[in-house]
Amino acid sequence: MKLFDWILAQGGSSGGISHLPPGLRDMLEQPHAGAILRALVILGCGAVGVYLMLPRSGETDKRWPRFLGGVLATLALVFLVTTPIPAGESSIPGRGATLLWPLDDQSPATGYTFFILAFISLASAVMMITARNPVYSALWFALVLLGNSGLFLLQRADFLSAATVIVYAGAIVVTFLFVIMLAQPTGAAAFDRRSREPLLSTATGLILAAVLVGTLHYAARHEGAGVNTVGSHRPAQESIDRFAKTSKRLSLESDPHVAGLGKTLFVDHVVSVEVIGVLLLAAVVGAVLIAGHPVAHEKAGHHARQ
Amino acid sequence: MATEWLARLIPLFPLVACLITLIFGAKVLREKSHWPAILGCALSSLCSLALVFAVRGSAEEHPVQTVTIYKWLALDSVARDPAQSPAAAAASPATSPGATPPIDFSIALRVDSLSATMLAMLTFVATLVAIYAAGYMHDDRGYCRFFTEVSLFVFSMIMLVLSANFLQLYMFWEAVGLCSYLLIGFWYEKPSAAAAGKKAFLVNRIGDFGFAVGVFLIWVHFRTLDFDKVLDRDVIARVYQENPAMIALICVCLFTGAVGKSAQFPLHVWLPDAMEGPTPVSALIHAATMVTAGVYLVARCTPLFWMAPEAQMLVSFIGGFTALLAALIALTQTDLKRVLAYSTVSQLGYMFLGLGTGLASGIAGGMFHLVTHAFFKALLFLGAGSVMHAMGGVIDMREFSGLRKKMPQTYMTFLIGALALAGLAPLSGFWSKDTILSAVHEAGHEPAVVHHGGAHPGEHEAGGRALAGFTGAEPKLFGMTRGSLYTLLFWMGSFTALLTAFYTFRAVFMTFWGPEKIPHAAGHHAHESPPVMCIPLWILAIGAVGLGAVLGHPTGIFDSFLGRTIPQIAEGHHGTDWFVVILSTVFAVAGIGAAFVMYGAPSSLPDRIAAIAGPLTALSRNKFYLDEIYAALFVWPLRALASLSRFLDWGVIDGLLVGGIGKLPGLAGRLPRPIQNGLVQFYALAMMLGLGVLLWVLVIKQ
Amino acid sequence: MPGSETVLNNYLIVGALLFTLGLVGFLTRRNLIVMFLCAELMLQGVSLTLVAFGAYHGTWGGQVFAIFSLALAAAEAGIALALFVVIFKRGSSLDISIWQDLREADQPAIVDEPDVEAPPVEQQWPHLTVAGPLPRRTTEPKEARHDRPPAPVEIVSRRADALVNTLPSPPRGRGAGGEGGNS
Repeated sequence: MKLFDWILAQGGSSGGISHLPPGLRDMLEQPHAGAILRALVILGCGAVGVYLMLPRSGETDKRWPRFLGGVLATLALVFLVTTPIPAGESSIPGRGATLLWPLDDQSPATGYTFFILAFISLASAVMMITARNPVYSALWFALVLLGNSGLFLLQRADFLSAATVIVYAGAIVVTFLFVIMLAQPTGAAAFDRRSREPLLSTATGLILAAVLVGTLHYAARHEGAGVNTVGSHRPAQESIDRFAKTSKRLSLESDPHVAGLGKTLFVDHVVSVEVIGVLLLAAVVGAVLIAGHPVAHEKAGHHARQ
Repeated sequence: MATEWLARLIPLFPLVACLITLIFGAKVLREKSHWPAILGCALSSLCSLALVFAVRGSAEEHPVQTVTIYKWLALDSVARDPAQSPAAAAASPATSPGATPPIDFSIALRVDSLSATMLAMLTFVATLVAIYAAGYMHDDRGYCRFFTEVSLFVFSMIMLVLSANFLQLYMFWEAVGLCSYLLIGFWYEKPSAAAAGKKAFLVNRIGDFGFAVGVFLIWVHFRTLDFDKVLDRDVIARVYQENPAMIALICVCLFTGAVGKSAQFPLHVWLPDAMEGPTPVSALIHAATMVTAGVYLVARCTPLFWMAPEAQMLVSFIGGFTALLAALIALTQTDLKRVLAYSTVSQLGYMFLGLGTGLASGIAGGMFHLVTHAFFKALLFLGAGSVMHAMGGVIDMREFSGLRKKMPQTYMTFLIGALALAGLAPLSGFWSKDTILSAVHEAGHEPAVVHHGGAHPGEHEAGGRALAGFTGAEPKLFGMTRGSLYTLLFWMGSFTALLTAFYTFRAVFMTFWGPEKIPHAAGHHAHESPPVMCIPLWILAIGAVGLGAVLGHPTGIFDSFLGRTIPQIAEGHHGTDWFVVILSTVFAVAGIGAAFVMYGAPSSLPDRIAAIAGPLTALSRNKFYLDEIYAALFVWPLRALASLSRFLDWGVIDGLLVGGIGKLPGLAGRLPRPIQNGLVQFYALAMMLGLGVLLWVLVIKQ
Repeated sequence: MPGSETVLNNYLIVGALLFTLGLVGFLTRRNLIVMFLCAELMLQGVSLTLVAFGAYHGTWGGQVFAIFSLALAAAEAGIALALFVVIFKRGSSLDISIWQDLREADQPAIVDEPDVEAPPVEQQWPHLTVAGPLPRRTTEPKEARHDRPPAPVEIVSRRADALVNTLPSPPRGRGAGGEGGNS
């Protein structure tokens, strides 16, 4: 924490960074330089952790990078919640103290539940992409799905939550496991124990995450600045509001949840549902054709030989 | 009317025969493919004979009938203004050089005694050769192709002879060249045949180029290409007055074409190689008909040549020189057909020798020699073909001998042909050759003869320069005056007669006399040829025996007939030059005797003489190294130029410029190509980096 | 009546991080199945974002889209798993590095550096202590071996020979060797 304070202090006073090159100095003299830096450090910490956890060749008996990476990734998740992000002058007061904002307007149980579920999801995702054995990967993915379904539930998406658990975790992941067992019964293969370009990929991930988070941060700043303000930087606001007015409201009180979803699905989006149904049918036929054809061929050949 | 229809029918029959064989030959007619050709030629022949009598019996003094089949190329309607006669149109200032001359070409047939003579000879020989070929070519894979091409040749040759203008003449001149090429290369699987065809075609191109230039010059200076107008005496006189040298230049250019087609000295090299074709083709095209097209051209252009004494001397000189050269080469050849081929070259040289004298008797003699030569040379070639047929394709005279028992008919007919060629007294060759030599002898004594015609048709004055403006000096060629040149040529010609008799009978003795020897290749073929081949031989033999006496000097029929076109011939009939007669007979007998001494029985005499002659023999045997000289002078430099051009085209232009510029995008593509490495993850990585940059630019770096 | 911006922000960040993690996994892992799982993970991140937006705006749209993406994922999984089965039947590995056929024709395939394997552990087999005296080695003259039977029997013969050689009596010669070979 001292480090961030120091950086913040440096960002605040122009004297300390005068020896830096002008381009970098200009960047650091931006009003949100400190916040950006902190967010970058958190994300970078997570990226380093993931990088260390990723399988790579020649680490048959060295397990410490994994442990270190796990610690770093966990630390990054903790930082997400705990590290204060300095609030700029335009940000909404009381908000944005950390990267994941405290859910002050919700009940504490909801807030804690969210943090726990988010932690489960992200941690499972990290474990999933770093697992050596594809079976473990699939199992960790199931855990991600469970966490996600909890998050869906928190967002009043009951049906989707159930569907995720049933369809995803129950059907798709199990099918995955079947295929893994079928195609790779020996568990971890040699190519599972090494990654392709782990550094470059993690760097790409870091850049993408930074840009996404930066985008959210930027949007939040202007959200605060733009509320009830002429010259808002959100030109789409009006159209979103208009859409929100004409669209059906989500109200647990008036409408039973599944009934409302069903109405929306089969009234407003009936064509899309049909299309997606046809797509699923085509996929099923295609899957049968792809996987089944060589078998039939082999059988025919077998019969011909006999 | 009858003449007109006969003239139309004569080329029609071979054309129809050609089309029938072309369309139905391969599938329907097959081994009966010879019928259309034989029938077409025979019908043409009958019509030609009828035409000869029609021309002869016509009431007019100089019957020249031009049958226009259709207007082929007619531009500028001014040309058809009937008020302007051709000569007047040419003379009027409106069509002076610089103004666009009217173009008016038609496909027309010109019937006069000259063309009728050629036609009768051509179609008659063609009929016999077609009959003979039906026997000779049987079992050949290209049977119908052969008769298609022969029919096409006969048609083209008829059209050439009947042409009424230089353009049509040039067209069919090329057409017979094409047929010759096709038929020389008839057995195109044989590399030598293909090469011979190519050589004939290319060598002919040189001559044809000269011919084309001559035609252009005629167009530029005469404003027309019609024979009627170009060969008109007044028109020639007018052009001569404008530019005296131009007539000579035109004559030399036309003669260049004749040299190529008739295989005269610098361009004679293709004819011996042309013997690679089937023997009937050699007999028909390369002995009797096509090669005489040059002679015909010079005879046709006689009015032009009369105005150019230097050109006439050149014609005679080339003719005489070629006759001697070819006879010398023929002395040592061992290939029977090649002996005959060189003999053909030599005899064609005789014809030019006669034509070049410019004397009426010389021209008549040249044409008459053309006719008689067609008979006995076709006879000799067909006889050689008969021998070749029996010997299973072997034609080298050292391989066989003493065939007169096995093949009596061939022997008899061949002997008749040889006697005619040698020029023994009553046979046809004697009369024609004697006429030529007499004319040359006469020309050596008369200073100069210029037939200017014009206002005085038929006039010919010894040394008279009646034409106004003809004040040129005594014509000289290579520093020789006319008299000395023709004296020299006379002795060359006489000596050639001796050589002719010698090499002809050398061939006869080597082939038919001596102990019987048959090559292995002959197999069971070594017998007399079938009647279908022997009957044409006998018919030709009759012609070779009797034609000269019937038509020649004793009766004067030929002279009077030809005189209907060239009036001087009919008038300028001289008595027999006994000196020449005795001299040529003595030479012929001497040649035959020498051949009998050397080759009548197997002896070592020829070898000993060859050893004594040494380098001369080698010179003759190797054809004076002319092929090699041409190769060194023309072929190799041109090939070097061709390879240089090829290098420039393929290496520099195509490879460096076009290919190099074309390679640039490829080189540029080489840079990003490693990006396409086929790994999905790499693509995803690039996609995501791009997405990150895009978001950065769009959202944050606003 | 938009929902809480705080909630939306948090969900969006979690969705973005899930998406990024899926991306990193997709980029680094070589197993086709794991890569596919990572793609599903990215889909989950997107679904979370959609649901969060839907909840924020108080509309059904987000959930509907998430359901669609779920259906899509199911279709995709069916096809992909069928393909995996085919690949398995062809006897190939699930390693993505094998499938580089779409590269430019003149580009060499990317070959991984070989695994840096730890040196194989020396197997320590239990062995018995030698009991009794060591066998005495006898040297035979070379020409004596010429009448040995051919290869397949030679093993037997050699073993028999060894047996013979271990015997204490030395004067057994060629006859005994032949006998041993035939036994």
